[in-house]
Amino acid sequence: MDFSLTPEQREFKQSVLAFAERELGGDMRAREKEGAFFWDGWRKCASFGIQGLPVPREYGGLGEDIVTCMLAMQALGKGCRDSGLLFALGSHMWTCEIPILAFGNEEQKRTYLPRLVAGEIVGGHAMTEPEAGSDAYSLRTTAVADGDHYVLNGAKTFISNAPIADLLLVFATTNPKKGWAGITGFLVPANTPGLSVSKPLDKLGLKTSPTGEVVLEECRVPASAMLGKIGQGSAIFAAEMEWERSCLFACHLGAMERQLATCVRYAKDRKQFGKPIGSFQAIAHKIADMKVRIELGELMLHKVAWLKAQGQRSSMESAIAKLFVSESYVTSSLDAIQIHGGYGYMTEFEVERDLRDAVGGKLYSGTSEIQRNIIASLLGL
Amino acid sequence: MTTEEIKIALRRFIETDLAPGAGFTDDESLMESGVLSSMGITRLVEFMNERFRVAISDAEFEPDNFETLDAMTAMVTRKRAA
Repeated sequence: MDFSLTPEQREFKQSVLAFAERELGGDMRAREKEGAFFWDGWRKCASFGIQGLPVPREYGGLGEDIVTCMLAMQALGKGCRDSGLLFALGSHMWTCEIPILAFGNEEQKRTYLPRLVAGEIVGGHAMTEPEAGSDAYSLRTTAVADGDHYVLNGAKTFISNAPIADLLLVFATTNPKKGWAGITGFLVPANTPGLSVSKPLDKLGLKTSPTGEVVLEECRVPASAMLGKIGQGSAIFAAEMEWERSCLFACHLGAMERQLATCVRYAKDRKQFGKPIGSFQAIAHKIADMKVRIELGELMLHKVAWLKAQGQRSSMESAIAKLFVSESYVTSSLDAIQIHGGYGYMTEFEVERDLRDAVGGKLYSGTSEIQRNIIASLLGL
Repeated sequence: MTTEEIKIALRRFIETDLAPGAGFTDDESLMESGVLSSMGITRLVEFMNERFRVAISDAEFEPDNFETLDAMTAMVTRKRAA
């Protein structure tokens, strides 16, 4: 089996890494303290082409295949400490651009994609509700037909990008009797009357990624706002998740690579009992395990990307990859703190942030428990 | 493989693996009756891929194609003929 990247892929990945290290730094601690979104970084990413990675050139994008997209996200994760920015980019691309690309009609693509690619507008999706988290398809937001419009009513929570979004893909039920098969997606500009967004919610981590609540009260949208067909909402969501579970978590992989390099450096420099701490097995073994997790996570993510590039579904593989990488990131982040000792616990040294950011990975894109459910179900249990 | 054989194979998979004991007619809505869950449809698509060698695209992953046993059978027959 040939796991090697093409020279072009290798070069592109390296260029993204160099861009991230050069342009996406700044005072991360200050931004995190204020919960400030990295707008300058967002604009720089747009200029580089990040937001256009998966979008065809005819809509202003780079038209890259999913493997290359995944490599770019991995490089961003390694080169940029602002996981909140990367998370916002992910929501924008995998939960807004990709659904429009895969399910939108030509008018929707031409209306939204060029502006999403240019970073002029920020996208996201609104699925989760106070009573519908893991059981996402039990959502209660309704979309009732009224002539050539639909009227949306409901409440969404934990919506990534909501406080800064210009466009939201809102999931609502158009036929409650059909359960998951009665859900439909609507492209709703954030300034639509009847749609309101809360102030940003305070989170444990990803503090520079704005998250909010969305309320829809008699929110009237034209029928042309429907994405795909009526009742196709669950298919749209499932397709999003396959992209998210590979490309979003590629950022985690990159962050783990950065973590590993930091820990190796520290283990060589830090001396205790007259020796570098890296010479003690207790430390060396933790670092070795970090490397193992990175290698295995990379193989799994690459497999998912490869399957999707072949036009194949990857439900099992996406679940495995997401479960493994997200939990590995938490484990490695805990170990990184342990390796750095007291310094790892102090915010000044920017080691502990990874753990706070990593924990969210076990929750979003389907919790670890849901991933295990998916795997078990696909095994016939 | 004939259309009838496809239908029989699909019915057997649904009745054995997805919803044991569930009875349903060929034209009954499997969504409204709850026979086909969101996880069930994922497994069904995997089954279609393995058993009939048909890949279901994102665009084809829609209720119209999976509403009833007749609809699923028609979709698989169509794809195999293409």
